[in-house]
Amino acid sequence: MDRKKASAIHPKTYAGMLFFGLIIWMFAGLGCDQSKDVKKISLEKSEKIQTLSVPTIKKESLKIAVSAMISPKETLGFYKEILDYLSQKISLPIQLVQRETYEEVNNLIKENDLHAAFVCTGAYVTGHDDFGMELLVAPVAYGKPVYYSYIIVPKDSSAHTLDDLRGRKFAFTDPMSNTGKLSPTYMLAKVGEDENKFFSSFIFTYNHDKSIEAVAKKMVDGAAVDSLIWDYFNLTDPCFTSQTRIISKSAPYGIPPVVVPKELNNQLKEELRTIFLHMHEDIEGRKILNEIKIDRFIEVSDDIYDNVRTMQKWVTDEK
Amino acid sequence: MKNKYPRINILRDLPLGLKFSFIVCGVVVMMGIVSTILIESRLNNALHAAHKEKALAIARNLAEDCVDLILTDNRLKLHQLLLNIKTTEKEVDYIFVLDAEKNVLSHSFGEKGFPKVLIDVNPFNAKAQSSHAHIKLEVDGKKIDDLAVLVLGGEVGEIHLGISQMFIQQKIKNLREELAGITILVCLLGGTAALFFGRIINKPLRSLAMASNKVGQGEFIHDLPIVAHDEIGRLTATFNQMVKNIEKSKAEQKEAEEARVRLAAAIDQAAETVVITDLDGSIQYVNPAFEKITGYTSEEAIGQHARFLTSGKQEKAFFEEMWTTLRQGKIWNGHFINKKKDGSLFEEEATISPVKNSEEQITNFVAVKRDVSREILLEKQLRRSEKMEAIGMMAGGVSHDLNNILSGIINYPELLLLDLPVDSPLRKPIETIKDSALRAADVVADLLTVARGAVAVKEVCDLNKLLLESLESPELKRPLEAQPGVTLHTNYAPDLFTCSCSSMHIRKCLLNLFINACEAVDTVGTVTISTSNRYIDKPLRGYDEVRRGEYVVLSVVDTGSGISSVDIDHIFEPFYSKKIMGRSGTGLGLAVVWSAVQDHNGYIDITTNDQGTRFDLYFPASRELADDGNEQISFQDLQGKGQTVLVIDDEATQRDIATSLLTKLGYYPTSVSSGEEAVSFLKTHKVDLLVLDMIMDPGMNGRKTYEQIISLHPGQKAIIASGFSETDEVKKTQNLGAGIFIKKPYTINQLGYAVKQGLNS
Repeated sequence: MDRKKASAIHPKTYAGMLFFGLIIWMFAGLGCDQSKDVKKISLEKSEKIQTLSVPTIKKESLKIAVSAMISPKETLGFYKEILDYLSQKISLPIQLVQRETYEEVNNLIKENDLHAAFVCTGAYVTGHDDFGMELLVAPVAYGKPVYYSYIIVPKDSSAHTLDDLRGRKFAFTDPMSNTGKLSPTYMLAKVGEDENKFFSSFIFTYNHDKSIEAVAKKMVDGAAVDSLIWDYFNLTDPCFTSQTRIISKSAPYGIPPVVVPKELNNQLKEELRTIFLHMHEDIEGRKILNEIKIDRFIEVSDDIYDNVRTMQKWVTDEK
Repeated sequence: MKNKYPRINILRDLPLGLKFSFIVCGVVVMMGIVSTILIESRLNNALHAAHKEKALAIARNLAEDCVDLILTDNRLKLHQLLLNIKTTEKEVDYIFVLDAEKNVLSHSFGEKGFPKVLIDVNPFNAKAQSSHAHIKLEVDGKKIDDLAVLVLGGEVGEIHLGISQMFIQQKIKNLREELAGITILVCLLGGTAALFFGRIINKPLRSLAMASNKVGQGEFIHDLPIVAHDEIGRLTATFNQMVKNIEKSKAEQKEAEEARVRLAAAIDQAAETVVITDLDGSIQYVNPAFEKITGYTSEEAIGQHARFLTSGKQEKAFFEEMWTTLRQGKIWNGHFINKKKDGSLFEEEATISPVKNSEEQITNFVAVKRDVSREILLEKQLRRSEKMEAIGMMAGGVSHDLNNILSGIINYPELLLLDLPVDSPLRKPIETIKDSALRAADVVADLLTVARGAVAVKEVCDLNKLLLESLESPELKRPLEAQPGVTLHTNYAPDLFTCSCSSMHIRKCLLNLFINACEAVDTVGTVTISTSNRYIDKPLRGYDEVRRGEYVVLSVVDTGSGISSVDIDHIFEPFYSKKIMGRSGTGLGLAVVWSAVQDHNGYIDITTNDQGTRFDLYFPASRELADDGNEQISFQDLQGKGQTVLVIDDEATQRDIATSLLTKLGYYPTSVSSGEEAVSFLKTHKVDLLVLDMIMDPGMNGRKTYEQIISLHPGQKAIIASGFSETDEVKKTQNLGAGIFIKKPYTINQLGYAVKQGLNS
């Protein structure tokens, strides 16, 4: 009896032990959770630095700009391999420079802040005429060094002609864009319409891919876009193009070229031109060109852009 | 007992309602604490996860939004974007954007400048290939989650968001306060409910407690109201039933107790001894009568074997038979001779019964015993009295006749001797005849003493003086002469009380005891005669039972061989003698002693053993002065002066003797033969004195005769003469006016003295 009594633990003791065990477990669990991987730092004591006013430029590198014909992100993907190819060929690092508008890129060329640039036809014509922007090479797509301006509407839109877009919302690309601004403005001017009055409202998307997306998402009722870009996306990623329909195709215009500042030394100019012109001749270059749906680069004369100059003049004169 | 109140414990002794309240509050508080801890823990994790998700979403959106701005180096817009997010998202403590080379493109720290420490505080793990990196920081005491997201897979740069945990902590704090509030509310509600519940339970419980208390005090409350048919209701019903049962049981118990008390009182107050033993005879209970009779207290008796009282006077077989009977389950009746604590013996009539249990097994024996010692003593005394009376009847009849005969043999020689010359040769033989007749008269007197109590005259005596005189008498010297080896010692108490006694009978007692003592001493020894005063303050159980009072004790002690236990019961019987016939005695010696002592309202005690025998005679003490005794009167002084005397006696011889002696004494006697004749005679005559016989069959006895005579002659003087001892009739006659009593046969001197006294009274 006595041994039984001695070995037995009072139920109250059990309950107490259980209770305190539970409390300790809970606090311990909570404590572990809270104290896990906390790094202590002090911002007040830390050294303070300021942001750079301009991007750092590596010495002995080439700065090549791409006008925002397509969005900067798409541009990066689109042009990265070409630039890497160029860098490899010229044995210099190449820094991609992008700006929001064509005008900003034109200004960089004008200021001789760039070694080369992929610009829009409109921007070239303006740059050439304003400060002597020089042609280096131009791509050949689908067999010709030309492209078009497409007037696109949502796939299920009731509009079938540009005129059907009267009183609707419209998207231009960039004020300097040929296919995204000049061409539709010219089309309207030809029929005596002013874009400011013809459309209920319009916006600048500054990129053709964004204009396609805006139409596909019915943010606008129509847009004018670069045929090269629409076709490229329609082939590679028809996510948005499939939601749009082309209701008008312009006359062919000279294709957007690769330009250089007039001040660029001739050796580099020639070196760059040679690389472009022979790019399609080696396997790597060919592969890159195939991916971006370009046949090759050729030398073109300035006069293939005269119809654009004519349009500019006509539009300017009309206004 | 152990069920005393336990020591005070404030918590344990709280009212039930408060206990319930405390328990409920305790449980609720504990639950509250546990819930708070658990919920807080879970919520903390969940909020952190949600927070992280949200921050990640913000960062990813921001990364998406700022790709173009970074690529187009649009710092202004990038900065505006960061500020915009910091403004709209309050959890965001800081944001900064790094380019691919870890240069800070934009940040939210403003003019203070960007703290460099943040650049590498949350680096991406290349191996993890995660789209984001997360680290917990404690930044100047603030808890912050730093979340980094790559912009365009890191090609463009990375964005860091510092998410403050302050909001999480604030939310947790708010939740904790809400939970605490809920806990307190539940506590209050629960506590109040428990109090209410406690009161609901407590009320009937209090009633039960009060009723229990009353039951404890002997008041049986069994009609407590049953409010509901719940546990309490059932408890109340059970309690009511229990109290009823207790009340009934108590009543039965009380009745049983009363019966037991009655029985116990009966046993306690019973004159009979009650003894209860176990099967082995070991005493378990004795009643007060046992203590009173045996002298043993119950404490002394309990545990002893019943045989501790045995006196050894009864055979072993007697007890074996008793136990055999009892063990057979039968009732045993019998007679014990037992021994008291003081060693004295007593006798008991006993009935012993076996006590059986419900299974008919004997568990105890109960003995009910009655002390019959006194009854047996009385019985013995009665037997002795009856025997003495029978002997007395016989002796009385014989002695009356013998006395009348002896009167002639004594008185005629006296008359002859008065007339014979002094030198007559007849004188010697006639004196011998007279002495022999006197001795015969003594024998007859002894017989009468034994038979009827013959102590006729008592006077206040000094026993010492009486003994001194007696020891000088020839009768007492004779035994010493016969037993020369016996030495007599005397020891008289100097201030001895007097006693009222018949000196003649005291002398006879002394003589008889002395003769016996001398004879008991075989060859050489002592006989001691002593007197003493004794006060008996409680009855003394000796040979007789000596009653309380003052006594004068006459003791005769010898150094003889003692009296056997067989003889001791018979020694006072007449003619019971162990003596050699012819050597001494008539077989009446001790019978005379016994009768004489009885007549004196005294007692006898005998102590005897083989060292000797002691007789103690107890006579009631008197404080009166002793009479000086009869003056020695000469014959001339007894002579009358011619007064007339009427002798009334039915015996002719007695009439002749009386008239002859009276004539010799100088009186003029006349005699008649009956009471009737005397009355008739006195109607015509007048006499100076009557000599009145008491028994005159078949006519009137002396008393009736005297009654009639005093009606004729008031104040008639008379003396009484009778062959019998002094009786009630004698006393009644004396009370009527008669004078002294003389016993026949009387000498001329005795008659002359009596007549003289009668005439002078």
